[in-house]
Amino acid sequence: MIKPFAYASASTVAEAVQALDGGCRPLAGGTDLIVLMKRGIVSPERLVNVKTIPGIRGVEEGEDDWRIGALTPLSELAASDIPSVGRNLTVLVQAVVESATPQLRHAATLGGNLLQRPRCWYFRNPRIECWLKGGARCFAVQGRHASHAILGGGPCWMVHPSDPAVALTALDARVELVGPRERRRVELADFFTEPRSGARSETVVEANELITAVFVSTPPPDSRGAYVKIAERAAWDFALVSAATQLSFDGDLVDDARVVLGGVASAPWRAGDAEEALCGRALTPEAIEAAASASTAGAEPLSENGYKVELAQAAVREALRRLRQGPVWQSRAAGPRKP
Amino acid sequence: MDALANKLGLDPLDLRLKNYAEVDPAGETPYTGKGLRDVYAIGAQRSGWRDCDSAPPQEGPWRRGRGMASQLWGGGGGPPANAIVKLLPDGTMEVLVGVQDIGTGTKTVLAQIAAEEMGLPLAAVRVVLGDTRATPYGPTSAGSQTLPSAGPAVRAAARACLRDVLELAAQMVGRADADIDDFRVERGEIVYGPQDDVRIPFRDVAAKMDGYTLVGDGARGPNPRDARVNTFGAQFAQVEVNEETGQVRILELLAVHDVGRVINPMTAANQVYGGVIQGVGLGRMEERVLDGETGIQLTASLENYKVPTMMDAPDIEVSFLDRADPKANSIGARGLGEPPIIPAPAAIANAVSDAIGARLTDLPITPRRVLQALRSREEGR
Repeated sequence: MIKPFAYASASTVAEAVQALDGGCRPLAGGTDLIVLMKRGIVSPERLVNVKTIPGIRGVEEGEDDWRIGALTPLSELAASDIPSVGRNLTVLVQAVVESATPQLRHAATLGGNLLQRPRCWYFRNPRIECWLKGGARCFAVQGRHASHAILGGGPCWMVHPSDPAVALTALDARVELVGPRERRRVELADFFTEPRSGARSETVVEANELITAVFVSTPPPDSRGAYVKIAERAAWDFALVSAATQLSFDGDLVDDARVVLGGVASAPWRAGDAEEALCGRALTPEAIEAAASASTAGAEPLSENGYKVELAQAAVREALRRLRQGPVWQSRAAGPRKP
Repeated sequence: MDALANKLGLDPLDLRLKNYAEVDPAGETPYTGKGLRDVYAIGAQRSGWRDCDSAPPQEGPWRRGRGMASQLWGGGGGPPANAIVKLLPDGTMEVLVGVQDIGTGTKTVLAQIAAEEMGLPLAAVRVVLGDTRATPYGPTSAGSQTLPSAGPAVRAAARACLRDVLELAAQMVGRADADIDDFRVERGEIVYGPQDDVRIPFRDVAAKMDGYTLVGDGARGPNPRDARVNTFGAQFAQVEVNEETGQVRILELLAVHDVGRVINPMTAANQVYGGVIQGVGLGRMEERVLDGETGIQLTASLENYKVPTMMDAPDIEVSFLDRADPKANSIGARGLGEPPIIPAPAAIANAVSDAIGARLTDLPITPRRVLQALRSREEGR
């Protein structure tokens, strides 16, 4: 049973931010928040509907970056009217297309997608008081953890469930946060934090801050990206493991590389060793293999999730292979579908 | 079975044919009807099972395999099951049965049975189900028994109601002393006479009913004492397995079933589509994961107890033997709810094993389990 709560609609960002605190949460698509409330995992006393705020929805192309409003539904990103989005932000569009279902993508917003809570089956169970919910310990590490973290685990072993977050990390995205006093931009890499004692949270967002936009810089001209998601179900599933790759080329050689893993850690995981293995080399099968093996450096799998090491390497391998095959933005179900 | 066939160097289908049970091995009891041999023949022919060079060239990390599995299940139904059939003064029929239509087409097929027995068009039949205050006793929606239990009861009730109709018709033509069995129904008319020369439209009988309702009741008779009622089937699957990611794609699944007489080909095929998709769920993703310490089921919501989506459904081809089984019951039909779920996971598992050369013995077949099987294959080499 959902606990009674007060409800109000905000018409400006300032108005929303004024109302926000620990007991008052912003409501956008509600595809996660309402579910969490129904199960009693979170019980805010007030909800502020932010969908009524104008100006923070939609994609705007600037001179050297894109501003994606926090209220932009995932479906709008997947079918953006701006052709340059599909061409330049391939990795993001592919990640969005692989997320959830068409119905959910119409409701879910990008800001909410970044703020969705872990899908850990202990965290989501109202009868279990796990560490992330303020309890004494993580139940997964000693229990059932086939879908849990293999990198950077502990004291909580959940994995971040967002597909777009992995792609946005590969694009060096920045998140704009507005609080009562200031407006700040945070690198996505710093936006997600490993939950620690004293801050049992997945992000640096303060209780009275609202995400208003995500900024992505224009990648260099010869830059390509791909997103590979491996899940148990063909649709409507969270990644067991995913990989986002964004490579810039100087001629045949990789000039700059981002290799980011999803489903392996409490936040999108930059595989620095894999990026190093690619830089300065041509994207040969050997280079791909080297990067794939290096991508899971430091992995410490638990007894049931060792397969994720192999799976992560396979995802990186596949994502790099797709970049080798040249322009990819039309080859899969990604990008705007024009009749 | 397939591991055994592999060890013996036999084709999995040949192993099954070599060990074909003509009678129920437990008690040497004959079956009321068993067409499994013909099911195998249809399945082998349609799936190209005997074509040796059916495997296309392997591309990248994907490996192709095929597998089959058989199904034996109950589904004979039995008593108690009752039905009431009413002929209303407007010439339409009402059928009351205490069973449910859980999406399997029960309402349609029970209407068909009543309409055929009464000789009235399907449009003249209204079926009332599910209300235990208004209907006589019916069995639960379990054990693939709704049709074989309730169907014969409906037929018997329609027959009883029809006898009253025929008696009334006999009186109308001044033959109240005639043998009722000499009357019959044909396309909405009651027919009698040496040259079928007496023809009374049903609606004329109804008009004479003067506001009365004719009511017949019927009960499901006993099952045969000296024979076993079972359903049979076989499914043939073609899959692709990615050796790097452990992902499985089911390309095609052919389902051939012997459930006696098929009352309605469309609702029957539809049950097989649904059953196969549920079998795909059982085989590929549905899992009851328990926490060892607390005993809590961790997959108690649709978020992580994964049922297949349409994107996971393979191309499904359905075929029935459609051979009436008059020894089983008075409609010659057996149940179909569960049978198509039964062989699907095994057929998929056999096809996966065929593709990767390693056997999986746990369901569901997730990427994790496929990768584990591949690892133990490498260690065994």
